Amino acid sequence: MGEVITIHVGGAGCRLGEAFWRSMMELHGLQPDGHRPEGSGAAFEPDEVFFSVTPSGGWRPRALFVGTGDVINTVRGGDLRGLLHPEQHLQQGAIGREVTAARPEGAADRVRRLADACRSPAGFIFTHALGGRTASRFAPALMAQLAADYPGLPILSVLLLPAADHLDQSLVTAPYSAVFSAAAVLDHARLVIPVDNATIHAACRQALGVECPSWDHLNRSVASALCTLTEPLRGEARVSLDALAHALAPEASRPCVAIEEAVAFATGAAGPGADTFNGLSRVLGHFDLLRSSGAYLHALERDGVPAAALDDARVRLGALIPA
Amino acid sequence: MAGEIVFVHVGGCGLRLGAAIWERLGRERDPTAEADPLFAAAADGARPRAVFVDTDPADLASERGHPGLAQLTPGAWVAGAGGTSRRWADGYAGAGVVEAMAAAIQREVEGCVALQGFVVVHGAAGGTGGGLGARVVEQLRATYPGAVVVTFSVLSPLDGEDPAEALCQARSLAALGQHADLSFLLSNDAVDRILLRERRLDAPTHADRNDVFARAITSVASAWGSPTGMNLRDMAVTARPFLRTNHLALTHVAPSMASFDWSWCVDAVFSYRDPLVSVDPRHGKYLGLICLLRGDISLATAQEIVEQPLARARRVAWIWDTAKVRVSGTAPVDAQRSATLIATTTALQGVLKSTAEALHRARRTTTDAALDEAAALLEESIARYQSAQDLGPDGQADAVDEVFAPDFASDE
Repeated sequence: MGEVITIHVGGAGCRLGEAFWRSMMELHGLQPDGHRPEGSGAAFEPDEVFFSVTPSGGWRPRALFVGTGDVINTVRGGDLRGLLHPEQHLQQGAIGREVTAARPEGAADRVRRLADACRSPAGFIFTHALGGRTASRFAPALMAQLAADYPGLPILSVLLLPAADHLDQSLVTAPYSAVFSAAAVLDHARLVIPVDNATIHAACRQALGVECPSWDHLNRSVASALCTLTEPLRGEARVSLDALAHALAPEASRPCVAIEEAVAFATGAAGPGADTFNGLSRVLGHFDLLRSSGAYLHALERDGVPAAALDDARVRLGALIPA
Repeated sequence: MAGEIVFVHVGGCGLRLGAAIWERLGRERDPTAEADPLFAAAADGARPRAVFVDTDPADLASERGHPGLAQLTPGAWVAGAGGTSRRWADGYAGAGVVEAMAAAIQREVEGCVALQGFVVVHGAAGGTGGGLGARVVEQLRATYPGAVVVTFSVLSPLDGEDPAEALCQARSLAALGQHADLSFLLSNDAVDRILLRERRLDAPTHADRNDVFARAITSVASAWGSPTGMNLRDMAVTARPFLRTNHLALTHVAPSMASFDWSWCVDAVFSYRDPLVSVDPRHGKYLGLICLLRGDISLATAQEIVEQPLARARRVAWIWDTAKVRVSGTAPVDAQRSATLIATTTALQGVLKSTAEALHRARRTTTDAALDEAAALLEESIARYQSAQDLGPDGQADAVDEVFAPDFASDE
């Protein structure tokens, strides 16, 4: 079965990517340098679906981190520093532009190098936020490029939705960018797993008993869900990314799946009947409120997104969500 | 780093204020920072990314010896042949310095890796500050279309002593509305009230006033370089929901010594008392709002503290989440902590109104097509502020009542 390449875009996408790979290291009992000590207690031996093997016998994530300077510097100095090759970090993006002019060629080139190291690449998993600066336009552009370069390979998008209130770090224009890029993601991704921080926040409070869960808590919680839901891709009865996508979302035109549902599927438990569209419809509500006032449209226009393009994205996204 | 920012100080007021700003910024600068958006590396220390321009060479010469500006290269100082004597048109025409100024700015921009934008510091009621200041803004916008251009504009109370002030200020505000991304307003009468209350000064000097202005400007600027702050572009976007309505912003700073806590600071900036421009936020609604806390506080705590006063603030109901809370790790040099509110409010139309009225009074002695245009632009802007204020949650007219009256009990 083929290999999976993970691509982490923007500040939030990279933080989640780091958390995901930390969970993978724990799962497989890997040391910070990617080596696995003899007699390691961890039950699961790593395999070549998510890892490549270095000449010295270490395990290296098949991952690419893309972000602005600050973000990439953090990844470079973070827990994965001994695990990643320098080519697996890519600094990209203009400064402080919320919908960045998207030029994905450089990143597509890095993905190609990762793909060339695979025997038969089976697809891509993105973690990225909507409404952020880098990711909101860059990730869909990279997906489009990969869809053209690797026709037939499925793309899974783990989509971090902007939070509901002033408590988060997102920009005032986040609802516009979120709807615009969500519509673009739907054009290219075979499977979309929206992650609503508000829901995770509440779940963390309940599960961990933490009064005010930090970003770290939230990321760890989502990362461990990701580890679980990707389990079928690397377990004993291994399935391909395409088969997983097909099982979770049989209709390619309806690619959205709740993360709880995906986790339940992977663990064989009964689905909790989670509401896939809770977060997305909230974002749409915010979009409508902003759009009806006409506020901030000029800022989007200046970044090359006219109101007509926003309205078109709103219609396409709205068509996905049951009223 | 979030990209470099270049300051342009124009006219006598802009120069004097510049000296005060850079002295403060120099003291607040983190010398260990690898890259600083406001300072360039220099042989012995750090050099302000700034250009100082005046038509009057004497004014320029008197600021050159200022300690905060010692690192500037000679090329950063651009002087004309003589002052403009409060003639806005002369300043706008450039008084012979436009090319040298553009070259000095270009040199500064060439030293930037990823230019974020420009900050123009000037007096709006002066011939040079107003006229040449407007020219700079227009020129920056045309030459560097991707960059953000904000201004710190010092207003005059226009109490009728010099009718030329009113003409200058009216044309400046009209021009800024067309070309600047955001104009932070500072007014001398507002700062005089602050000085009277804070320091019991009833006859403040320019130096006293500039000290308070500089405190506000450096507080706003501290957000631009901080990872938990807000960069210049996002600030300009957040504060300006509508292109044609609100290019004006008020700042309100409450520094605190050890005896007052964060809640005191935050309550103070959300009160009607003493913003740096003479408007009363109770007479309007907030359109865009950024609350910046400086000092040793986490973002989560900051958000918690701001939540209550924010809930009480009168905001336009029909915009999603116009308020943002940010934190900057460096406290001001002379306080343990401070809160800064950067806000656009429909109450700022009061500034436009009083300027338009002063223009009307001053005009009885003159006729001028350019003044007609300025008057029309101001009227249009006032009408837009008013319609933004009147619009209710469902698009219906919503009368402003006087329910918003924050408890501000810390009066002496």
